[in-house]
Amino acid sequence: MKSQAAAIKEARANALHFLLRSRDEGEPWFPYSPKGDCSLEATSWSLIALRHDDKVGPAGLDYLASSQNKDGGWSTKPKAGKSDWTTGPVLLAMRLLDSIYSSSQKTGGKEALTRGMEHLLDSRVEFFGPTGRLLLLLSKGPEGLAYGRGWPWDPKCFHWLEPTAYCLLALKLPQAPEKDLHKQVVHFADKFITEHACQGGGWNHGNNTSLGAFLPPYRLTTAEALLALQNLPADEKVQQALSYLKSQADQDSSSLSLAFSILALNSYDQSSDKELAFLLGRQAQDGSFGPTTMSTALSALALEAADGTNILKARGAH
Amino acid sequence: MSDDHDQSKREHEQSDKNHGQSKKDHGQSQNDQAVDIGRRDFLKVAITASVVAGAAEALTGCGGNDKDSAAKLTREVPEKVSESQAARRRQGRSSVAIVAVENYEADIFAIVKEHLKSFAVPDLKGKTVVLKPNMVEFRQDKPVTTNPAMLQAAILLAQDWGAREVIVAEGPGHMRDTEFLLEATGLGPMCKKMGVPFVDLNLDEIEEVDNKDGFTNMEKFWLPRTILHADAVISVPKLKTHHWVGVTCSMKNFFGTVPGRKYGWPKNLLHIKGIPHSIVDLQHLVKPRFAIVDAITCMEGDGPINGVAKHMGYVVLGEDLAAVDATCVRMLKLNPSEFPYIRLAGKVVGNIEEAMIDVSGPAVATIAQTFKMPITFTDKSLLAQAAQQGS
Repeated sequence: MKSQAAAIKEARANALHFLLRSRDEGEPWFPYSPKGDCSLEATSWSLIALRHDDKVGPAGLDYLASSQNKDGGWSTKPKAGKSDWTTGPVLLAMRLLDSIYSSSQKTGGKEALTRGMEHLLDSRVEFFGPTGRLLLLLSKGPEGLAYGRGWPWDPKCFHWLEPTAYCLLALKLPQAPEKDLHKQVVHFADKFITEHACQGGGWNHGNNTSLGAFLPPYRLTTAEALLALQNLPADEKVQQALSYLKSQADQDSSSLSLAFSILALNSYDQSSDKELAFLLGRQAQDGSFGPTTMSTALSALALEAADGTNILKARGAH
Repeated sequence: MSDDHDQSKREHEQSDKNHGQSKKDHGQSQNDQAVDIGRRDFLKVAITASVVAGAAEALTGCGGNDKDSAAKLTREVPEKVSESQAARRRQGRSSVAIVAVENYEADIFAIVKEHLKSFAVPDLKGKTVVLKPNMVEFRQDKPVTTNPAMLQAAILLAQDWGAREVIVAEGPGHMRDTEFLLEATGLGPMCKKMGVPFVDLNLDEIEEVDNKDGFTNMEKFWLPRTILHADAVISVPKLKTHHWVGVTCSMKNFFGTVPGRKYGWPKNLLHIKGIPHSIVDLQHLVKPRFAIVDAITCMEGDGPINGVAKHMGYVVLGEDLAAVDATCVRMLKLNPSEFPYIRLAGKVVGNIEEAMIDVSGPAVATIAQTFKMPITFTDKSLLAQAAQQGS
């Protein structure tokens, strides 16, 4: 009979092997589905999960840098039109891998990272246009401009929870932002998320009400938001969301939502034993978790967290 | 639900009264003190102006980057279409079958197949057929998605019509957690039971296609390869009321073909570009071959997510999706021309006039039921919220 610790290590190793087998031989990128075409989001999560593989990591970092669009952002795959929400996960992966490899290996990531961060700051939703902002400033003073601002999925659209959570993680990991501008951007994005919490706790895709009806939270988005808000552990919305997430513990769910739940609960030093048991029960014979490389990569990260190292936990947040 | 609906309406009416009062006060202030505009008055004007300007800019979701969006958020669609747009419209008469199916425990496939003996069904011999159900979101005890039994019947029908391969494909609109949705809705287990693969259109490989003669002003669209390379796409929607477009049926169902990996969850760009316009553009990009509508248990009220179940007991089928949707709307005792996207589809997709649609089955007037409609159906001022919200 294997101990749980051994079972976790074995499950993670099998998941990582699956990730390596899922891509075309010799390619530095990963697809959403095995042997599919490139997904820069799947590549990002897979690289984070495989970050200690010194063949995969630096090559992946170089590939992400070379896939950058002229505007400084990234699209769902190279040459797929204007930059979109994929910029958040890519920057998160680049920052985490850069912290490992930049001092010991030559990578092309530094300049891309700088340009990418600039794009990230410029691509927030303005919500109110220049005229509206000026009049808000004149009529209400600086407080008038203190409305929450997050990121859209697609340029020219509204801000939503998940792209905002991904961009916040990219700004907060591997360490909290030091520049004042970055701190301000984080503040208003945090505000956007807390303002959009569902009644009773937790988050959905970003609408807490619709035409007078309260909309319910989802497990996955609640976990994603909690990871993004680790710097606000005492916030009432964060505490309510933790309660909501813990209330789901007895229910099995998808690999992706279980994995994110484990990572979020672990980040707040909360138990996730039940979620872990459900997740382990979902691993397929080939080592995968769920239908995509992304769900497998996140599951590998969750198992790593259960084994003592949570790469998505902000240092000194609590 | 009824209470929520009424509460919302009451709140809106109260808001209107307050707004009217505010306007009255402001007018009085201008008359009495027009000459001496001090700081306090300037601020009043500034606040009012900021609300107006801010609202107008907020409608675009991006501070005015897409200046024609505000108009598109309403139900206004062009009354005139170009010759090339009109040329894409289906010619001749259309046929729609209405088949009575009491509930989901019935042998839906056998009942529908028997009814369709005298109805022109698509020849799918040797073709790869994609069935597109509605799996936008999950709510316990609400008929949000196409019923698994209906999907099973659609799979059997496609196979019976000669399909070489049947694929079920959907790109849920609000949740990227497709693994959860498949299990919660029962659609995933049904695919497994039937031995049919499921493709998540949100994460499928994508290709860019031209949107020539479209209504959204989008020159190109990224769409899933599974849809673009299918020999035939069949819409398998659930008939529901819809708070932004009135009714969702076989045409609106194709919002789920737009890939989240490019456009997100929700697919907000479709709202920004105009929901009616996007619906019609997608008909020409997806080129659906047929529709099989789950109108057994429908949704009324604040659909497509928060409404309540309404039993009808029918399956509606046809190859002209404009005619299918127009007929379904008539089954709700409503005029299809009141729905801008259906009106526009009548100009560039197919037939919506009753006189041009041959119905196989009971006369629509004899089976039509009154549906409770969303508050947005009568109060169009609320439609500006559509760009900020999902389906």
